[in-house]
Amino acid sequence: MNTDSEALMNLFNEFSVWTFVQIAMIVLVSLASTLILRFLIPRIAEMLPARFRLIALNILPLARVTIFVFAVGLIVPLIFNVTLKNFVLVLGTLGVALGFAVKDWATSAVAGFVAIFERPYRSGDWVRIDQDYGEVIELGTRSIKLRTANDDVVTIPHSRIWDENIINANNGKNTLLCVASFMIAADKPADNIIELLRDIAFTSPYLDWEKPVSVILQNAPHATTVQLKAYPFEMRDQFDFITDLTQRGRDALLAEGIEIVMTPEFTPAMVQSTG
Amino acid sequence: MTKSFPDEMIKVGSYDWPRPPPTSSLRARFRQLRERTGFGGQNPADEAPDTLEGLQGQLLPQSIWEELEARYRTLLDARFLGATDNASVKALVTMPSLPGGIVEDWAKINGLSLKQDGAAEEVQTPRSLIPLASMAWRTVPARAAARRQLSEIANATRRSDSGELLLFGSSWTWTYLAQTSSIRAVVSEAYCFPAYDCKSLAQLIADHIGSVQLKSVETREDILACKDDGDPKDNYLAALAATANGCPWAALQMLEDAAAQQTNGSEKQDEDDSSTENIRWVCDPSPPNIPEHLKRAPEFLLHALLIHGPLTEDEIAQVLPLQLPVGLSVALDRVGLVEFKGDKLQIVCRNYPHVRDILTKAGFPADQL
Repeated sequence: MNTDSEALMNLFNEFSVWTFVQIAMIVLVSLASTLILRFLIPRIAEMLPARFRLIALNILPLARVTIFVFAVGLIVPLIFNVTLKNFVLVLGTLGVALGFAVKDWATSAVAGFVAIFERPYRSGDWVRIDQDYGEVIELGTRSIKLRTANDDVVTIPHSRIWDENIINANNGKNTLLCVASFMIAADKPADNIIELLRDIAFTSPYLDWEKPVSVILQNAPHATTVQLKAYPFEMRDQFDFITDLTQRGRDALLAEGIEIVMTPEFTPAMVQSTG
Repeated sequence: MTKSFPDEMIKVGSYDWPRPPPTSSLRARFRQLRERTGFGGQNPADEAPDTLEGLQGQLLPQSIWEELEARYRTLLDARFLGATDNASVKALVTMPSLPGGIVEDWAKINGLSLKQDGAAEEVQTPRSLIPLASMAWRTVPARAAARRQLSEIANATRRSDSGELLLFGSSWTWTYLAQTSSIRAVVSEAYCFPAYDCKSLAQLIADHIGSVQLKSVETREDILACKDDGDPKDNYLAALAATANGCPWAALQMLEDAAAQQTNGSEKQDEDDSSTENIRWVCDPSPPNIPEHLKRAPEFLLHALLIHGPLTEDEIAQVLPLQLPVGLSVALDRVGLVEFKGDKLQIVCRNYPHVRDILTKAGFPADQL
């Protein structure tokens, strides 16, 4: 009993008011630094040229981890008498208790740490996780936040990266592929449709000229699906770009006498499955 | 001082963009950041001593513009007026900061026929000039017409009676066509004017400025004083050449705008100077900016004007399928980025480098020289 008590006493350093003040100061400075960076970096990123925006945004998660590790590194020696024996003792006792208590949080936090280096998503990327598609606006310790096209903010725990496919539309680049889909009658001529739709893309003000433009035709059970694929120069214009391609593409097809199929059975899911 | 003017046109793709001195670049970025964050940002002209006032009259004499024009004509003569090379199509690509009419006047003087509608099928003269702008019109029917036109040009080069064809247009028009059409296959060679670096600018200005001394407000140094190797001692001209993207027309106009003089009877700036009469002060170029509240629409409009050249309101609506805010063109005119010429809106030549800077920062596809 005496030995256990001594071991426990050896585990901790002697506390004084100054120790608590130091810990409080470290926590406060870390929190303040994180909050300042969280406030400043996105704003500075918005002011930078477009090509530097994503780079600046990705400084934030790394900086946060660095601050966290630094703070823990300062606090632990203040509380614990750091020796190998004590380390094993703490790991054995607290590890099991904490493991049960914050299992889910820990899983997400570890996944978040992995995500910083593996980079399935980065700040500013456009990702799809299950049904949610949006821009990564925040990489937190436990979760990421996506802003969808409808301006909803979806919070998704990092732990989803263990068992779900993460579809990253731009993968750190400044542009992504946009697709405008049309369905035309399979039994009617569609002369010059490729040239016509390529011209639609080439006359769009959102187009990134340096990237390829392509038109893909594919037969589906009741129609021919046509996909016009092109890249906008600014990812945030993707929905305006698709709207522009779809609206002017549809009008141009109709003006050329190409019949557009409007059968209710053609749901987006069917189009996706044929694509 | 050794002569350091560029003496021949260069192929598109080999343009030597002047680089700003690192300190100037950093200072400019810092100033932009201060302006955007509102922490003490101010116009560089405001940093000038209180005793400075706007220049009465012109800093640069008319002769400097005449010499520049003559130099450009010499470059054009040397490149395009040699022995007629039948069955060839060449392109002349210019920066939008080149004043309108330089190429057209040169063509007129040398008897080149100008095909305003771009038709190549009626070419009879040994050499003809065809503007690129009509081929870059961003509408679906115009693109089909442009393909036919390119096909005609390609065919014309096969005919024995056809002359040499010279397509000309802005670097933005060329880049758009090069990326989105088969113009590179039709054109055998594309040329552009070479960049003027700080040495060339210093030489050009020194030849015409007479006894006037130009001093930088920032450093208080003579911007034309050169080292032994011919490089100016002060960084002002190097920064100016970089800001103007190597276009001497834009650089000289920016210098003109940045010039100021010391008021009579005021306190002397430099105790060593016995007189301030022959000293002109130059501030750092002050870039006009898009008004914050207008967001992205102005950038699309500026981009369209660079690709297509001057446009009327109706033409803007054709090539830019966007709902632009009412009064946008007037707002941009007010800040000096665009101007009305008749009923057409166009980029202000001397502010073209700033427009380019705005668009590249916003990620718009830019011209490539």
